[in-house]
Amino acid sequence: MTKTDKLIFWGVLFVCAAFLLFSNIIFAKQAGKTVVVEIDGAQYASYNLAELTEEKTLEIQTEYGYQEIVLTKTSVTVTKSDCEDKSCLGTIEKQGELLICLPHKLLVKLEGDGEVDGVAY
Amino acid sequence: MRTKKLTMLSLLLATSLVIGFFESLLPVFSVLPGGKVGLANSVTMLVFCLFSFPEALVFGIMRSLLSAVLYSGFSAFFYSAAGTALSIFAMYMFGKTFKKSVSEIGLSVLGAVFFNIGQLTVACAVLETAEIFRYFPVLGVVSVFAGALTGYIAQTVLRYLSKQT
Repeated sequence: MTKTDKLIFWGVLFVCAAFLLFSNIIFAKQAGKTVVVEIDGAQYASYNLAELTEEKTLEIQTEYGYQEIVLTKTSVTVTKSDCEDKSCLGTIEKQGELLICLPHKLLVKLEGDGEVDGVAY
Repeated sequence: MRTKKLTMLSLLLATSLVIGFFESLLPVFSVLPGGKVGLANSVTMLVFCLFSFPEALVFGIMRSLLSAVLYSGFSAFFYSAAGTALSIFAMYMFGKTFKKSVSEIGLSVLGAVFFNIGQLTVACAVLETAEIFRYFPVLGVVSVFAGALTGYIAQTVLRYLSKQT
């Protein structure tokens, strides 16, 4: 392993770790307030979590596939998806967190205060 | 193409697909389709070092295509093809400039990082949002280690091979 190798290794590692720390400190993770669902780059639905009185399940069937998303006052969970790799399954709770299903071109993100209470397109 | 070269490349391609397949069976937390340690990339690295840029590029794209068809799911093709192309190009440019001072390990680390940059860029285009780049720091850290490991494997195999001839 040469000196240049080590330089590259530590250099890139440092830059990425710095970004990681930076984004965690600067963007203090607050609880998510609005959930936005985008499909193929276009907004599909958006909900204000605080307005929910009970758990809400979104059953989304698009030309790319089918998935189910459960919304609660404090979290958003992708519970089902018929994609191949299932890396989208999981829960997010904080602002800025994302759930992504690339085969379905699905993006679920949590944001701060939105302006709408509930919109479906 | 000489038959020997064609045969060798085909065998290496098959090897990389098998390695990739076994890796895909491991339940690893992956953000993007096919986000693994990428041990099969050590074979691509090997091709890159044994031959050159054009062979490695074609090899990489063939691997993306075949692995997508065989096990990773067709949508994975675009992401890994873009990533592979960018990564091989970056390694080639860097390798040409710093031929004396960099080894397979350093190049592989760069390759891994650029591979992820390529993947994220395509994902960004598909989802039409730059939000996906939020994943870059984490992917970057993982790819540095994965790249070093992959490069080390390729380097070891290369040294072994040169001792045989």
